[in-house]
Amino acid sequence: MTPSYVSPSLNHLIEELMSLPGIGRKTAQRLAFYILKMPKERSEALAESIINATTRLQYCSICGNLTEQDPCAICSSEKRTSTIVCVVESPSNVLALEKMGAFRGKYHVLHGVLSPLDGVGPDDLNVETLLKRIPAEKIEEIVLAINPNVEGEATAFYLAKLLKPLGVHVTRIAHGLPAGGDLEYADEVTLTRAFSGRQAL
Amino acid sequence: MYFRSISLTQFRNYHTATLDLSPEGNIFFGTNGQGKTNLLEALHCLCVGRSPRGARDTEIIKQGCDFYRLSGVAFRKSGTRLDIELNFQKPNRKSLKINGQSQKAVSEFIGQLSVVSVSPEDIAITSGSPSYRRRYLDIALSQTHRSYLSALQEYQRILDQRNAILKEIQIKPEKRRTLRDQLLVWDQQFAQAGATVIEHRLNAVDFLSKKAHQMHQYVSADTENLQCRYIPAFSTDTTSLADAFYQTLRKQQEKDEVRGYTTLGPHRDDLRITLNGFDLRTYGSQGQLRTACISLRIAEAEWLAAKAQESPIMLLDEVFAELDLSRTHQLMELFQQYGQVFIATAREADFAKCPSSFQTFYIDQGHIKP
Repeated sequence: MTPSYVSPSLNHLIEELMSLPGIGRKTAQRLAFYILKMPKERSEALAESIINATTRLQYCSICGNLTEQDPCAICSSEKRTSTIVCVVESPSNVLALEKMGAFRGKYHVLHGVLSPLDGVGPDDLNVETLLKRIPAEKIEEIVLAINPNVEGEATAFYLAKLLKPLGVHVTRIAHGLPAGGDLEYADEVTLTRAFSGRQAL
Repeated sequence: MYFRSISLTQFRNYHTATLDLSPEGNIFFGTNGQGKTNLLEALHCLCVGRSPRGARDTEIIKQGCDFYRLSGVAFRKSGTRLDIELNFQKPNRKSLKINGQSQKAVSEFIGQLSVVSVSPEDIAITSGSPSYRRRYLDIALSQTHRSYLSALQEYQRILDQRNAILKEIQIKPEKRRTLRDQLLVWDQQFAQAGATVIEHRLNAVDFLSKKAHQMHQYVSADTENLQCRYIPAFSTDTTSLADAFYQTLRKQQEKDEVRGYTTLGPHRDDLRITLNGFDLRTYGSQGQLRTACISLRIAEAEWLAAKAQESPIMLLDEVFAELDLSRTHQLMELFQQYGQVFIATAREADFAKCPSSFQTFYIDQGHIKP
């Protein structure tokens, strides 16, 4: 507990910081004191950037990614083909895939995966707009880039069942050994997956 | 593998103690409450990095002290020497070193040194609910097959998700149709993971049953026939396990919906144990239940030895109390054929005929005399 002599505004700051993921009381305190020691312009810039980001950013009405203008830069880009769409779980996945730079199609963000335990069903995912996009954008292939865990697997299965009858080609990214990896250091589970996903040469 | 020596510092009721051990067998004699079990616990900690009794490290430290240390010199079958050191300092600094090198995670350490503990609570394997027998199989398999552990965890996770849907169907029958569709989304991988679990278990039980049968036959002087069978809740003759499981899930769906949970699968399966053709759990005497559970543990040791190419050490805590003298002697004979054995007992007289290669220790209030 924070001692009672701590001023209410400091206490408030600490508790707000603590609500962030991965931040405990100790770290929150250190951050709070650091912020207080910063020049006024810097701390105001920090506060402003948070307000700016939260007020200006919205979800793209087409793909569901975070954007300042609707539709987002990727959806409105002429250079990117819309015949191939990559389906991901969250906006942070778009960021990761964009870093790769090799994908020239468009995205679709689900904003979650199926998880009955957490009360997330098909209606809670951003699927409705994807179904509308298929005829509107003449999508030919949908690549599922969903995390290879139990929930991701179920979501991929659900989407495949839903999309295949619509005449689109549904694929999923491969899972297996990391690039530059060594067989010796791979765990059994990854190896098993890599093996079952082997390809003809 | 065997331990040549171990040292304890401020561990349980020991201030300091060092034991030079026999590679074959070691017997700890002493009346109740002298610290026999604590020695077995120390050996277990050195092999696995934590207490078998689920005790917290702070509870293991001798009263009034603020750290404990365990060290041991062990040798592999290949002759490789291992210097193992386990340190714990209050409030939560724990370190584990093998040959001077820090081990990052205790989990990496597990499986390097294998151990089989036979404790009085083990009687639950033969007399308790099916969950104890599943646990027995799970522990043996997790130590030898990483893919088993991951399939089991995956299965459990999907089971929880699946049950969440079934629960909702039970509460909101009006949404049954859409929820049923959702169930199908999970069932393919559920059947797949379940099949992997069952396949591993069938394979392990095949091995364990044969070994346990041999052990039991020997210990009971050919009078008792011990058999174990793992029977999945569905027939597996015609199709693959995963298909058979999937079909059965469909067939039992309405039952699952009414109950609000998954009523069948490897999470409900049992290992059926019979003695001379009769169900052991129902008809076995206390001595038979105990003997069978020791036979199963020895089979587990054989399993580890076969799969990990290294005999585990065996820790036996007061397991002879319910056995007659002839069975005790047969067991002692048997143990000579295995890796290193540690026995804690209060009944010295029973061990008058113990093999000469065995080392005996007398434990008296945290002091050890050879």
